[in-house]
Amino acid sequence: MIKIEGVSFSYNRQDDALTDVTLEIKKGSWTSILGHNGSGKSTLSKLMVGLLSPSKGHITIDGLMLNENNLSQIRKKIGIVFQNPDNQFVGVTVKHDIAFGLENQCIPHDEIVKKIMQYAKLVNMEEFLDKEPHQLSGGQKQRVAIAGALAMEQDILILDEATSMLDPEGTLEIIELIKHLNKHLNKTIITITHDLSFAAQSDHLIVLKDGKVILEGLPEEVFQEEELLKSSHLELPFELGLYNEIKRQKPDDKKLLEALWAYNSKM
Amino acid sequence: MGIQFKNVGYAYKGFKKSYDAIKNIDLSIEAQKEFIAIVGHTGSGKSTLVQHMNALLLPNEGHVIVFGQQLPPKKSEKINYLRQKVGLVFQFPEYQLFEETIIKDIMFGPKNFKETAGHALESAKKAATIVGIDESLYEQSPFRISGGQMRRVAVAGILAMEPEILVLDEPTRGLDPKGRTDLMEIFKEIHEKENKTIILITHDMDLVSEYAKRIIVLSDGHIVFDGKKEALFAHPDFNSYHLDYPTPLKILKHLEETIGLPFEPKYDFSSLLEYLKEAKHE
Repeated sequence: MIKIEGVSFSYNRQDDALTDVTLEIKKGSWTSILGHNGSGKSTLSKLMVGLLSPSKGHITIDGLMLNENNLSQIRKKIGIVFQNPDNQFVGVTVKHDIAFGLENQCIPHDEIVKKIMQYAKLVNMEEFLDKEPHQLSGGQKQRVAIAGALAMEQDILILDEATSMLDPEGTLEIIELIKHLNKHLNKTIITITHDLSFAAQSDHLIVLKDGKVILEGLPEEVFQEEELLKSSHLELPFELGLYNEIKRQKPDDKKLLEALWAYNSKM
Repeated sequence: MGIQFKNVGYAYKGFKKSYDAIKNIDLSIEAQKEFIAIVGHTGSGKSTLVQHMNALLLPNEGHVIVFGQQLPPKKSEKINYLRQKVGLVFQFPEYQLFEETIIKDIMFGPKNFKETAGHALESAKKAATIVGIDESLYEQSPFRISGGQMRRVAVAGILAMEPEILVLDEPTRGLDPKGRTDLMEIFKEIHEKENKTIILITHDMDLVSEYAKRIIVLSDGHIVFDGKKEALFAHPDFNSYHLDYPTPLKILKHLEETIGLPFEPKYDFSSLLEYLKEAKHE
């Protein structure tokens, strides 16, 4: 469990990028943090992995206080994958890239080889181990990045806009993988996104606006707050917007509303 | 006629063999009033195709004729001016920003063509206004604004060259939903007010459905469909194109199956909403 208590952060000591954020993220959940560009969502993710430290408040992970002394222990619990697949591919080939974190932990060679295979398989990249980054699609590169993070065997994985540069096919690949990690391997997943259709699939939503938490709850609950979402530059997915509009303009047509809602949940 | 492809093929030369990227392409695009979406899988040849439209690539086979200029050209002919006639906005164009200030960056393109060099600043200001970059930002660094604004600056850089035809390669990818709608509305306005032909590469079938009039489907380097949007989505071979239906059509299909609401194609949010408000069902 991640506990964020009264956390503020400022890049320049004048304007807060985050103001007094208090949150809990449950073990084994898939939580999406939503917000417009500049809302503070990436700042929050960097605070959670200790890439930044809060100017006020504190963060605990599984009861362990996040501070400089505990950082190496914290990093064993939580990992992060960033937005741009090209900026985080550090290996010459797929297998070198997955090995990067493991090598830094001085794990014996045999074990590294075993783990590379295991995690390449998990993300469906075992046939690409000797490929170089330019031979891979964006979705494939992003899966390699996830494999590299998974190889560190942390319980919590943050994906910061991990699909926003991918085409629809690449995005689907990542969503399927996230579901698998969450449901079958019991990883706690935190996705940072501005895509509400993507977020709709998670268990819990947190909406940030100008560095503050303005909404929190189940996707169904959060999506009712259309005006608040709009004011935060977030747009409801087409089908949900339509449902809300019909509900407003043709409230007596229960059958139509039911059918539209069924379409939403099918997605 | 704006752009014409006559049996065009292009192959990328690899180390040992070459790879056909596009093959047997025949295509005519009017200089004005068209709004075309080019769709197809990653690797189907979309980007290769559009790079022929302003002579960034020259065909290995066949001919492309752009505003009367035949490509590949005879040795003596200069073809650089075609880059001004057909403005191409690449994917993630903000990565190509480089100047000290926003206005200098927008001016860079027009300064390089004789048609626009004389009034580059004026064109740049006009383009900035079209994309909604405020005058107060002109002297700021293009690297200290948000991603969505950077994208607009990059688009303005192309608009400032006053191209006749605007080609956009995945212009909305990576933008948040508001940024996506805002940018598409800008292109729609350019199309409607100035009658400019817009050619849009995208994976987003909802954008295709809402904005495009004509759709070209590429598969494996070949054109497998070229025609009106309405005809594409009703085409018996649609499934063989491996494309997704746009959301309004998917919803209508679902409503027809579940509550017997008569299927009548709608292509955007507001027309679908209007239809559903009136439609009768079981």
